[in-house]
Amino acid sequence: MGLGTWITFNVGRDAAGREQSTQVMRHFVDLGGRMIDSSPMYGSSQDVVGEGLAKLNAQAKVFSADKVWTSGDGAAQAETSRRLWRVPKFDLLQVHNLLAWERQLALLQEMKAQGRIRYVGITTSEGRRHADFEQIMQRHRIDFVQFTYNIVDREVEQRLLPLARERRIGVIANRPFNEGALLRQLQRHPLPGWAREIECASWAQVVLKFIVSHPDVTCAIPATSQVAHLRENMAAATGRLPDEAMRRRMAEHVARL
Amino acid sequence: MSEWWTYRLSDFLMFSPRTWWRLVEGYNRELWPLHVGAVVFGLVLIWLARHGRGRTTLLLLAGAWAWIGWGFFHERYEEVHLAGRHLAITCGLQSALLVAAALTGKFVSRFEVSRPAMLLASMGVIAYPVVTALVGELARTEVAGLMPEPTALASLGLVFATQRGAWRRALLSLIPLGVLAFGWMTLWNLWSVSQ
Repeated sequence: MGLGTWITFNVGRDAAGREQSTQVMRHFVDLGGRMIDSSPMYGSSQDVVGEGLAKLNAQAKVFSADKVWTSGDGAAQAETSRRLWRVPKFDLLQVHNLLAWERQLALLQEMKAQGRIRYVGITTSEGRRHADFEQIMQRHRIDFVQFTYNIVDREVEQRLLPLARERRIGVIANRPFNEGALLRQLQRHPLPGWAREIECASWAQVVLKFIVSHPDVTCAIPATSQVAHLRENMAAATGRLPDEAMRRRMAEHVARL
Repeated sequence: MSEWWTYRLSDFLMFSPRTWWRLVEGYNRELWPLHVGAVVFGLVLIWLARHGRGRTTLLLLAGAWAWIGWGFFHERYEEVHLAGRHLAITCGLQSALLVAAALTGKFVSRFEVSRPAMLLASMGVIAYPVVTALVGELARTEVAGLMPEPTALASLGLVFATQRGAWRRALLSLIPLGVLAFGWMTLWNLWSVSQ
């Protein structure tokens, strides 16, 4: 289970918000979490992550994933991001939403070859540009892809997830809760009895277990600003995972709601 | 941005309701008790407009827009939203337009001042802070001259109360209308994600 930072970590200079974000990261690392994902597009999030990691002295403990999001000088932006994170180098840099991907992907490949980053990736969200995404996955050497996948957004099961398996590409599932909208909908309904069979105590855990139990998914990146929610999310990375039959049952149940 | 038509308004909301309200509260806390002065400033503008002092009204209003651009959008909003810098520049442009209009414009005489325009200006200066204080919390009160939306609302009234000519009025109203639309859409989005 990873940790996203879109909206939740964009707290500006608010000291209380920054401290709360640090506490979320503290519990994330303590509970075995490693992968934190951010972007230059996320306002103050990168700086909030960097400040928190420095306070916790946890820069070396996390898998730092960030993005390049510019049609201009990607190298300069990546360096700015690295300084904000206060890490010696990123583990993963991704081309955010395929923006100027031809130029930026070549840059990231070069940075990887020079040992300045460990892995290269591309991202999209909410089903955008999947045809382009598929072509890039087929024609270029990519280590990670990031796209939207959850119990109601399952288009990627058709082509992108099988292709990721075939090409041995790591998969990061973003927007697991559709920015909270999915959970708000599900929480109007009682938790089904089968949730106990897979050791889920909440709808959030049902949704997360559905995602991470897909054999081709590497991790999900739920974002939260609440320690209680973080603990709930991290618990979904433990205990029994649903098998294929249970996954079908879960999806059918949610589709009927 | 590719496939821009696939984006919803809520996709441009970069922060949570909690972050927004803490930003407003922090900004108000830092500026207090300037709010009292800002309300008095707004009332003076209304008085000046009502008495046919269009040039002075617009020059003082230009100062308010310069502050909104610098003090709010650049110093505060830019931290949490990528549009902050552009909004700050836009407010600077509005300030420059008001100065240009003040120096070159033809103004309405004290006998021709529109009552609806004065009402609009009063809504920005008096009603907006009162309503935001009553609906939300006192620490989240939005005062014209310090926060964008009441300033934009008051500006629409003051421009129509003082300026002659449809084109000049339209030109000076574009940015306030845009700022109002942006601010109210943001509030709508914040409300939507809270439901």
